[in-house]
This record gives sequence, C-alpha cells and structure tokens, in this order.
Amino acid sequence: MNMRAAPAELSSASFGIGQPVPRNEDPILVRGEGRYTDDLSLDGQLYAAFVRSPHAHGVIEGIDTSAAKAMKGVIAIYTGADIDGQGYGPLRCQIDLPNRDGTPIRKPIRMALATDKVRFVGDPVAMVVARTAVEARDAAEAVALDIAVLPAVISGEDALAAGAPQLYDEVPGNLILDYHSGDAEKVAAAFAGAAHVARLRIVNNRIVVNPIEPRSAIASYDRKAGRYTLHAPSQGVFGLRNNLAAAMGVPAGLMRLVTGHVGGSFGMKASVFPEHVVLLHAARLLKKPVKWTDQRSESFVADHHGRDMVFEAELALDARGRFLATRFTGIGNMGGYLSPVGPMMATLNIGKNSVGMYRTPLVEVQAKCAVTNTPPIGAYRGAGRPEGNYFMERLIDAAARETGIDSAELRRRNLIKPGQLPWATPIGTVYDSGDFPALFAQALEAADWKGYAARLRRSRKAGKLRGRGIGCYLEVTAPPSNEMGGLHFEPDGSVTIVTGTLDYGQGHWTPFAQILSSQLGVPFDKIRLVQGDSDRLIAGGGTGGSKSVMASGSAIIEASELVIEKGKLLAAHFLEAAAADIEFTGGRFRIAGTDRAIGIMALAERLRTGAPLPSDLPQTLDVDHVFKAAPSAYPNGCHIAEVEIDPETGQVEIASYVMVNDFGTVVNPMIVEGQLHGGVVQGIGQALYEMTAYDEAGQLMTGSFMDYAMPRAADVPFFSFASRGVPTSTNRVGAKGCGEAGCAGSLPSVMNAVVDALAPHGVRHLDMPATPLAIWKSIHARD
Amino acid sequence: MTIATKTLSLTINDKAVGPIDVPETMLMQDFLYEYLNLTGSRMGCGQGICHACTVVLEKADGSLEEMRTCITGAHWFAGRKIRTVEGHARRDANGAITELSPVQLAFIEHFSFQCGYCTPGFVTGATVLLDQLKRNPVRREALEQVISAALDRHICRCTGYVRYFEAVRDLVLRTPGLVRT
Ligand code: FES
Ligand code: FES
Repeated sequence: MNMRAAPAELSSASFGIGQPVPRNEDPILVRGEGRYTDDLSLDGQLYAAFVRSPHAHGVIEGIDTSAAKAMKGVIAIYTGADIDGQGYGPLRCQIDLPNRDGTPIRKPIRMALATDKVRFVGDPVAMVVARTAVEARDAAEAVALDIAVLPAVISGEDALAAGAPQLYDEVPGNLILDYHSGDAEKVAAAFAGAAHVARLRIVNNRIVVNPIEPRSAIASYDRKAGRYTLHAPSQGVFGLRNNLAAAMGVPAGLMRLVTGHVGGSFGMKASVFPEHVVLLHAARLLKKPVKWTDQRSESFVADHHGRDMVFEAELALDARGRFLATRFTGIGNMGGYLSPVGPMMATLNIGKNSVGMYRTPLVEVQAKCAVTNTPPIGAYRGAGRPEGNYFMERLIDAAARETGIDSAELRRRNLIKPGQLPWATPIGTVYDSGDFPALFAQALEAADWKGYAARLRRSRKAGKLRGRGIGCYLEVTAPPSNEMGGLHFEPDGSVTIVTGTLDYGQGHWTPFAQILSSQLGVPFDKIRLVQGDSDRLIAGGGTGGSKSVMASGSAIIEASELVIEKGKLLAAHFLEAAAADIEFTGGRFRIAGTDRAIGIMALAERLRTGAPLPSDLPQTLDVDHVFKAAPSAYPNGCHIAEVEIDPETGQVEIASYVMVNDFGTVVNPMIVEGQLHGGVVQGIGQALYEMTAYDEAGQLMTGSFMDYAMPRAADVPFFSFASRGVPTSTNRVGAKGCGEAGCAGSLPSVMNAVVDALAPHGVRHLDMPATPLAIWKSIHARD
Repeated sequence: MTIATKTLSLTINDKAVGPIDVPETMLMQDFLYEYLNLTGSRMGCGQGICHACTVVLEKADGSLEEMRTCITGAHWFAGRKIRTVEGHARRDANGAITELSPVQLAFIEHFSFQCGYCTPGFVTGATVLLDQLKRNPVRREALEQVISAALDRHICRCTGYVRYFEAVRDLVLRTPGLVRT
C-alpha cells in the first residue's frame, strides 16, 4: 500500500523534532475524505437560511414573515423578537482596554439578531428553517423587511468626524475607545530634538478573510440532558464552547462543541457568531438538528473582516540615523459591532509589534477605535501584528530615502545586538533570544543586495521599473495560554494526545506526534490526536497568535514528564527495584547500571493486561495535565522582495523573494516553510490585489471572487527560504510561532519594493492594494 | 407546487449510478452531496470561480475535461462518465484503497496543500492537465507557463500555490511523453 509518500523504512529518528515528517492528515485530505462541517448530516436535520439587512444603516420598522411562513417546506422563522427574552446573553467583546482618561471602553450590546437597528449590509435580522436548504433560502428571500434607511458611514475617519451618522445612542461620536500608550512628553521631546523626522499617513486595507471553506454549523439539543451540541469550524473548542455557553445563558457543562476538519480560518472562525445562537435556539424549540452553510456571497458580507486601520506614523532619528522615538496616531475601524477581539488590533498589537528588532527607546501609540456601517473587524492572520510592523518598516524606508542613508544600512545601525539581550523594549516586552544582525546579513546576502545595480540596469533596458524592499519583522506572539496536555495509552495500543489547540489546515497531528515521540519514544505511527471535541478537554487555549506548537508542545512535554514519573514507579514494581534506581532513556525504563529494562509501550501493555496492581501505585500511565500559560515568544526575520513594474500597465511582478526567519526550534521544517508560503502570499494579496470597496451607501462593491482579487498561482513568485533559528527560552519547546510571520514580512518588503520602483516618478508612498490602476495613477500623477 | 424531477443515470468512478429521480434544476454538486454522499467536490464559491468543486469528465474519445459541479446541472451529466476526487485512488475488490493516483502522491510528497479544502479541485485540475499533455506534449520552455495557467483557475487561500506548482512540474517531468524535446 502506497498511501504515504515517505519511504516505509524511515527510522524512528526520522520522526523526531526537526524532521520534515509528512503529515498524517494528508492521505485523508487528498482523497477528498476530510470531514468538514458541511459534510456532516444528522438524522432528521432541518436547514436554515438567514435574512440579512440589504441596507448598511437603518431602523427596523417591521419584519413581515407571513408570506415566507406560508411557503412550502417552511417550518419556522425567528426574528430578533423571538430571540429576545430567552436569556441569551449578548455576543461579547473580550477586550477591556481603558480609555486614555482611565474610563472604561464602551462596548455596545450585540444580540444575535438585530431588533432595533441594522448596522451593516449583511447584519442578520431573521432566520428561516425549512425542510431543505433550497426551501429555506427561497423563503428567506420572501421575508419582507421594512427598514427606514439612515445615512451610512464607512471609514473610521468619517465615523469620528463631526456630524457623522451615529450608530449607537450609547456610543457618542462612534468612539469605542481612545487608547493611549507610551510617555507622550518624552516622545514629544525626542521629536523636538530630532535631526530628522519621517512621517507617513498609512492605510492598512480592509481584507475579506475568505477561507475557501465557508462557515457552516449544525445545532442540536438533547432535551433529556438539557444540553446543546454545535458542530462548527473553530480554532479550538474549549474556549469557544465556554463563549457559546455564555451566549446561550447556560453553564459550560450544558454545551458541547465539536469541530472536524476546518478549511482555513486565519482568525475568523474563532468567534461566536450570531448564526450559532439562532441555530441552537431553533434546534431546542424544534427538537431537531438544524444545519446552515454559508454561501460565498454571504460570507463576503457576514464574516468578520480583517485589518482596516489608518495611521499617521512618525519616526524621529538623530543625525547618525539612530531611532529616537516612534509615534503612531490612528484609527481602527471596528465595523458595526465589536468582534470578540475587535479593539485589540489597532491598539495593543500596534504598540507591541512596531518595535521590531530595533533599539527604539520610545514608542507612543494613540489610537481611536470607531464603529462604522461595515462588517465587524476580527482577527486576521497576525491581528494587528503585521499592521504594526508594516507601519514601522514603511517609515524606515521613508526615512532612508529622505536622509539618503541606504535602507539596509539604516536598519543595520539600529538593530539590537545579541550581546544586548535580554532586551527590554519600551512597551514592556523582553526579547530573550535571536541574532538579528546575523540574520539580517544572511538575508541581504541571499538577496544579493550588493549586485542590485546590474539587475536594475537590465530592467530599465527592458523598459521596466525595478525596486527592492526590505521587510524585517519581530512579532510578539500570543502568550501560550493554559493548554491541555492529555496523554492516554489506549486499549488498542495507540497513544492519544488530547489538546485544545485546533488545526485548521496547519497540520498539528504530525508535529505534536514528533514532540511526543521524541519525549517518550512512542512509535510515531501509534500516536493519535484528539482536538475537536469539547467533552474531551479539561483546558484549551485554542489556536491563534501563532501559539499552537508553543502551547500544546509545552503541554505535551510536561505531560510526558508526568508519564515518566508514573512509569518509574511502575517499572520499579515490575522490575523489582527501587523507583529511585529507574532511569528513562530512549523510550525504556531501566534499572540504572543494568540491562534490565521495560519499554514504555510494553509497560502500557502490561498495565492493560496484567493482574491488578497494589493501590498505592498508579494504575495507568495516563496523564491529563494542564500547562500553565507562558510568556510570548519573538519570532523574527527579514524578507526581501524585488519587483518589476510595467509603467505602461502598472502591473507588478515579484521578481524575487527571499526570506530568512528565526522560529527558534523548528519541529517540522516542511510545515513551517508551508506556513510561510501561505502567509507571505496572503500578504502579497493584501499588498497588491485585495480591495474591499464600499460605495457611499455601504454596499460592498467587491462581493465575489469576480470582483475581489484573491492571489492566484500565476501571481506568486518562487521563494528562497532559510531558517536561522535561535531557540527561545520562553517555552519548553524553544519554538517561536511561525503561523502569521509570513504576512508580517511580505506586506513591507513588497510595498517597500513597489515604492522604491516608483520613486523615480516622485512617489513617496502608495497605499495597499497597489493595483495596476493605483500604480499607473501614481506614475502619471505629475503629468 | 411539486418539484419536477427526471430520472438520471450516469457513471461515477467507474460505477453505474441510477436511474434515480432527481429534480430537474438540481446542480451536480448538490446531487453528489445529497444523493450519493460524495462530499469531496467542495463548495467554495458556488459561482464557477474557485474550482474547488470540479470533477473529471471522461469523454467518449478518452480525453478528460474539468467540470465545475457548482454551476452545472446534474442532468447535464446524464449518460456521461465522471470521476470525483473519491475515485482517483486505486481500490481493491472490497473498496479499500491500494494506491493513490500519481497526482495525489505528488501532492503529498511536495506538501502541496494545508487545509485540503481546495485539494480535490487541484487533484482534478492537475489530472486533466496531465491528460492534455499526454495528447499534446508541451515544449520544455513553455512548461512552467502551461502549469501556471492551469493552476491559476483554482483558488487556494492557505498555501501560496508554490508547492502545488512544484508537485505538478515534478510529475510532468518524470512522466514520459509529456514534454517535447
Ligand atoms: S465552488 Fe464551483 S467553482 Fe467555486
Ligand atoms: S489548502 Fe486550504 S484552501 Fe487550499
């Protein structure tokens, strides 16, 4: 049988940490046998469709469901009025940052279905349940909405302007949060004394997340137990289960969340969505499972979007080009409601992730978070990290151009040196590891930075503009939160890892198994992973902020140590020795200094099949451990892009793309490199193609793959990829998360290259997406 | 109002299917999901753009074509022969898989995909491309361009495409007769 690409004779060392082990999940997925949520059908299930607001802003005057109710197959229709008073909580925003004056953030209440007002096109107002999906959709179209349309406001800047349409009575001026961090006085003094100040107004454009698997959910209710079950894609079932339970007003024990395969998420599917609440409600009332699957046109308007902020970014330098201070003053667009993490991106994460690998002593962030008549902004690959890093890296290039210092040289002068670690940054992080100058030099070398002049000449000869851009990054990952490390030795001789992070395409089974195999010597092919059933978990921080290997990996390492402790007691019993004399190496418990030993799998087998043990001994090797949260890690790297632009068409081609990354200990290099490919290309999409455009009334004008340009195969370059890892001391694995770093590197490297190419035409800055039209216009702006 | 149905018979993955009563307006993708539980042809857009839902049409002359099931009616396939992603691997008499197709193996070898949701479409697209190259070998210099154009029809949000590309190129180059010398 040839189901795995790897030769069968791979030795067990080939499955250790650092090996490019093929993913266990691949043979399943490549045969089309993945079980994504929509592939599941429950007995007797009904189908739901949502009625969504066609207007960006308005008062709901009436919802007439009578015609729809009379349609064939329709079982029930629920509006906000039906959901109200059921004890369902609001959909909560989890961010509690204070305003700069110390007052709390304003969090307007969002219920699952709008009752008073609609606040974006796509805002759900009713749900139809019918016998078939087609009947449900037809009936949803027949629900008549009477909405008194109000003027809409689309951008964060407009929302904060005097006289702007007001979304909420309780949010005067549409201002959710007036965030401030840093020492304003010291920063002002640094700017006043600077030899040079670079300043740019920079947009970080709104992105439609667009995982290729649309959202889907099946709700059911067990009347006897009074317990809900939701099957839905997620990024970890434990936390989302708790949030769902809160949204339904029940204790966590009365909610179960099950997630199968997930077809991409990038932050988006981690939230409770309004659809979940209404589906669970319907399942309880109708005593039948209710299923809903999004249409793509619906996901464009109803999913959380990403990014969408605009900042005035400033960098103060002394006469030798040393960074004195940065100041970021801007606005984060929250959309019509606050997503669970909405206010985190334009505030905290800009501060943390704009510092980078530089010795900037002062950082100030002033950010206003505004509600607008657009879909809520949620986490999207990096969630504020790539944005903050992008602002800084664009600023450095602007400063280089203005001061005449080479952009590589300017960065080099400001890099933190290995001897200066640990380095306490002005925003409270402490960098523990890395060799930024060496990594930087390696990237320049790989990109042949010195040989650029010849390539530039060649491009010019061919009538093309050419530019090069550096995008360094240092990301502050989400701190690895409490995470379960369950290790269960199963009756069939396999070992199950139970953990609460959740793979939505990354492939967790394989690297987690590599870690376990290296700790306990358990044969790789005997290892299973349980991740998507909240009933199996006692803790789970979930996936997000590039922390899965750090959190679950650490949990597995600690759990393995507990297994070894138990195993020593048991081995001592079986080998008739003192526990203190037992050592564990290479998967075997051995009486020190002898050849009397028992392997861990044999020990597990003996426990299952042997006679009962004295009660003072552990009865199994199983462990259910909770790893306690650890500090963030600081993945870093340098990406260098070169682009060629056709001045006639404004078309950009990425001529080369080089990256050198420090992810500390790399468990599976093939997976890590794949994560970088994906992240870099999502960044290229944002930088060059993806435009989320609204008209004045708040209608999305780029609401399908026809109008919204996703990066395609012909758009992407080949990558030169290298790892230069320095293990971190902040977690047990030594890993620094890699999942989001690609975006952090590609946004600035690509855009710095584009602006560099356009510089001969007097272009200082261009906002993303640098579409052919935008580029052509910038070239001809002076004509 | 009752939904008008028609009987449908076709061949899927070398097996005769039908006659079954199928609504006249039903799309092929819904038919595969709901009548046959063949869920591998995935809904990504429902508008004919992303190619996550494609299947191989095996034509009478033996040539292959990629068809989008999300915009093609089930009845269009009446009397025709298709291969869904579930039908690419070789199986033994009991239906157990004995060997993946060359395209599937190449995708695994090259770590081509991540979440796997777009993968059935890429398996289909690459299989059809290989068939076309068998009939019409390409000049070596044009190969990259031809692969890139073929993959360009498929949207993947996770991978950055590079390893899909490399897998297909590698497979084309080691399959005799696809490249003109
Ligand atoms: S789902 Fe058929 S082309 Fe997108
Ligand atoms: S692998 Fe996820 S969409 Fe392609």
